[in-house]
Amino acid sequence: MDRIRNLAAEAIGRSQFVAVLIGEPQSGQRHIGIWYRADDEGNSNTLHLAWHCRLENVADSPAYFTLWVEPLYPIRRLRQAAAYVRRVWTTNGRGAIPYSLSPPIDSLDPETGAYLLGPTRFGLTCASFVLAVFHGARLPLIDYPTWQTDRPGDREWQQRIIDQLEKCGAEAEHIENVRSEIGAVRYRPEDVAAGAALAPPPADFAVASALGEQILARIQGR
Amino acid sequence: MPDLLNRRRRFRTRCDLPSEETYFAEPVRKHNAKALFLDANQSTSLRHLTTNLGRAVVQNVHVLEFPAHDENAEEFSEIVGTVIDHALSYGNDRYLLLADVQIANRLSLVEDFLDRARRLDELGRIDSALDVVYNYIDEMLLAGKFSELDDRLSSTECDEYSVDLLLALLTITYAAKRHLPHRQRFYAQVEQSIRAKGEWEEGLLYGLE
Repeated sequence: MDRIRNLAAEAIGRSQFVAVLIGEPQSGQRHIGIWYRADDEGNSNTLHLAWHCRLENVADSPAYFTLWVEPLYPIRRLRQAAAYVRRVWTTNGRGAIPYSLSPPIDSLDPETGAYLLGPTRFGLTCASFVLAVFHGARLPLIDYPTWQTDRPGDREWQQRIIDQLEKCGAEAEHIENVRSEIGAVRYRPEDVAAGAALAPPPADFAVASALGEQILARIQGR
Repeated sequence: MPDLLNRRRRFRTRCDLPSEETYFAEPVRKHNAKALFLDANQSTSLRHLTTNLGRAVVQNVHVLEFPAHDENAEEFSEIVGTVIDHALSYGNDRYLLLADVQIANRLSLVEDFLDRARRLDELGRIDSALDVVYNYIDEMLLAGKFSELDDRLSSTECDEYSVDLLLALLTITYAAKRHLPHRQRFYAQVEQSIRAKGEWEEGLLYGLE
């Protein structure tokens, strides 16, 4: 738990390259993103999948991100991860990544062989986006085969996502695609943040979810 | 110069540059300057060139004008080389040439992306150097230029590049490794090179084989 830092108490240093940010924008809804070094001068940005086709890249991290963690990989690899994040942003831009429940793995189009730097399939959540980026940088945060499916509350949360997509006017075809993914593994933001904090990476589900509970309690001030 | 022309079209699409005499090269070979001078017949002074350099730096955009001139060839070449180095030190991954059509059509050499990345790396602009590698190779992969990239990996002398650049090459090519038969050998060479440099550390190549 000591690797999870509080942003208010300890800012991310200019010498760092990449970190995972987590917070609670509204009660009961956690959100996760990536802080990364943006240039040679040490300026930084935060990249996060805010919602359906809303990839946000901002210089100032949103205030709801309260905790951060630096993944336990060699610093030189974290520098590569930052470069990869920059490329993900320039390749995809703001509107290219839909919100859905697809797995965060896949970089080559199986039909064309074309390289797809950004996540593919129907879309990602904020947490699976973070996983996809680190996976693409070859620094996986979690051990995917150990991840548990259908935990209590997962399907309800996934159904709520569909409801919200309908409310916000997402395309009918996309909503049907998301519906077809109900029951897929849910990667919870707190577990992904825990995965970044655990050594050696990638993190096993049991350990990460236990730490994830502690992170959740800390975010919620319990 | 179909390649150059294609690049120009692409860049014009992105930026909507107005000039018909705008050509895009990504990036320009360092020693191209001399060849450029030899090809150029029109006349513009060195002062004009350095003025343009000032403008480029102020705008933090890599804009160089290469009109022809009537000055000493060696001096011109040296100045142009300095201009390019200076512009590259700003780290943008795109490089714009404003040139007379006649001259631009004679630009036959573009600087190799790894040479450029190495130069930025040596200037201490490591993150910009990584961006050059990631952007260039990603575009190669998107274009399906696997064979060309594989040749590149097989001919890369690892000892000539920093650990950061070698890691970039391994990272960005990983997803296409099935299309890159020489990558496995390249990986072994990278490991050997890093160890020989005394920069090895646990986990440095994790997940990249």
